Amino acid sequence: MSRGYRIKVRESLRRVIRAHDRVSTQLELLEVLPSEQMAQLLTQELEGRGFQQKGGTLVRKQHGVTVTIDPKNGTVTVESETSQEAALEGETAGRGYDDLGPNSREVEKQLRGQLRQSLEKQAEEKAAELQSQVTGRLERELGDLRRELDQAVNRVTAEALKQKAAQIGQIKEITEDPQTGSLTIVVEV
Amino acid sequence: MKVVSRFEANLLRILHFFLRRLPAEQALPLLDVGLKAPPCLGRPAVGLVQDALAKGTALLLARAGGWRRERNLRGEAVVAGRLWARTPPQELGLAFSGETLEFLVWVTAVNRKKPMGLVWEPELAKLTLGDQALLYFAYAALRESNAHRELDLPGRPALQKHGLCRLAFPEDFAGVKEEPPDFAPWTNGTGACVLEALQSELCDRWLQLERGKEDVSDHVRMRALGGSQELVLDTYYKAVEEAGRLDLARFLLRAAASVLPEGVAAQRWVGGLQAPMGARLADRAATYRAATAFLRSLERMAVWTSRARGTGYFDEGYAASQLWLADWEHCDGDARLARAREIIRHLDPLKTNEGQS
Repeated sequence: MSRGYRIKVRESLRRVIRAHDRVSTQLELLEVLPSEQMAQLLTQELEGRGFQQKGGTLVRKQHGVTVTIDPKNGTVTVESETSQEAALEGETAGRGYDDLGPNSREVEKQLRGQLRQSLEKQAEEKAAELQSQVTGRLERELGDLRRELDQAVNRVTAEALKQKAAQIGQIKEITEDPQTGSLTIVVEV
Repeated sequence: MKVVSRFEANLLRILHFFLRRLPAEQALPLLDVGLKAPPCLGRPAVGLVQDALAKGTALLLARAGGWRRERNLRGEAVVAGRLWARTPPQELGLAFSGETLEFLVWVTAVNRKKPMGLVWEPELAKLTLGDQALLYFAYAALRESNAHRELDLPGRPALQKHGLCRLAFPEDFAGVKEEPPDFAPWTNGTGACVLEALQSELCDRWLQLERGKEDVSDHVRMRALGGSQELVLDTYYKAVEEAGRLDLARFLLRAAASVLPEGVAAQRWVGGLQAPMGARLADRAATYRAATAFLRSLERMAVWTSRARGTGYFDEGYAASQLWLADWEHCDGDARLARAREIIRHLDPLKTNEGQS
C-alpha cells in the first residue's frame, strides 16, 4: 500500500534586469555661416549649458538621462538606461506516492519546472516595470530638453547672424527681444 | 478553327484573365483544377498565346495610361503626346521568352491549395521585359482575390527582385527580405515606356497605401510596411537619378499632392495606432518614422527641385530640370513639402509633445 508524501521544492533566480530607451532627432539649425563655423558656435553654446566634449560629440548626463549631440550634423540622441539585480525566491509543494524513487523525482521535477516558470514570469514583470520607469523618466526630461535645445538653436542662429552681418558691413545697431526671440540688426554697407 | 486540349484551353483563359480580358470568376476556379501539364504545348495553343500577348499587353498598357497626353524625356529632349507618339510604335514592342510559357504552364497546372507541389523557378537573368511585364499583370490580377498569397508569389525570388511589383505593392513584400528590387529594366528603354503608361495606376496604389495607414493599429505591421516603402523608394529614386529620368517619379509627386491637402493632420498616418502598454519611446518613434516613410522621401524630391532651380539655360540637363520643375509646380510641391515637414516634426518626440503620445 502506498502512502502520500508532501514534496516541497524551493527555487531562486538571480538576474540582472536592464532597461533602455532612446530617441533621436536632428537640430534645425539654419546654415547662416559655413557648417564648420555653425558647429563651433553650437559647441560653445552647449558647453555653456554643461555639455562636455567626448570624442567629437557633446555629452551631458542629468537625472539619469544622457544627451549626446553631434555638432557637425546636429544629431541629438537622448537615452536613459538602468539596471537592477533581481533576486527572486519561491517555494511550492505537491504530493507524491513515495518520498524517494522515480515517482518522487518526477513530481519534484515538475514542481521545479512550474516554479522556475513562475519566477521567470515575475522577472519579466519586473523588467517591464523597470522599462516603463525608464521610458517615463525619458518622457519627463524631454519637455525641458526641448525648450533648452530651442533656446540653444535660437542663440546660435542669433550669434551667426551677428557674425554674418559684421562680414557684410558695419553694424550700427542691434536690438534683441528676449521675450519674442526677435533680433534686429542694422548694418551700414 | 484551332483545336486545343483542355489544359491549353485553361491556360489561355488564365492568360486572358491576367490581361484583364476575362473576369476573375471565370478564371480563378481553374487554379483549383490542377491538371497535369503536358510535355509540351501544341502549335495552335502557342500561336494563340503569342496572339494574346501581342494584342493584350499593348491594349492593356494603352488603356492603363498610354493614351494620356503626357510630357516625358527622350534623351535630352522633352517629348509630348500619347505614348506611341512619344516613342515610335516599333520601339515599344515587348519580347517574351519561353519563361512566360513556363510560368503559364505552371500557374495552370499548380493547385493553389498545394503551391509547392509543382516547381516554378525561372532563371532571373533570362527573364525578358515582356516576361516581367506579364508577371506584373499576373500578380496584380491574382492579388485581387488573394490568390497571390495562396500561390506564395511574394516569397519567390522572381517577384522579390521584380522592381515593378515591389513598387506597386510594397506592403506585400514587407518583412520578406531586405534585398532591394531591381529597377534597371524599368528606368531605361522600353521598360521606362511601360512605367510611363502605368503612372496613374501606380499613383492610385500609393494613394491607397498612404490613406490605408489611418486604419493600421499594429505597430509591428506599420514598421514592416514603412521599412518596405523606404527600401523601395530609396532604390527607385537612385535608379531614376542614375537613368536621368526624374519624370518617372511623377506618380509619387502626384500621390503626395493628393495626400497632403491643406489642413492635413498627422493623425491621418498614425491615428489608428494602438501602442502596447509600456511601449518604449524608441519603438513608438520608430513606428512613427515608418508611418511617414513616404512623406520623408519628399526630401529627396526637394533636393532635385533645388538642383533644377539652379540649372541655367546653357547647363547640361536644362530641359530635364525644367520638366521636373513644371511637375513640381503643377503639384504645388513647395506647399506639399512644407506640410510633410510639419507632420514629421509633429511626430518627433523631441520637437513636440504629441510625438510622445
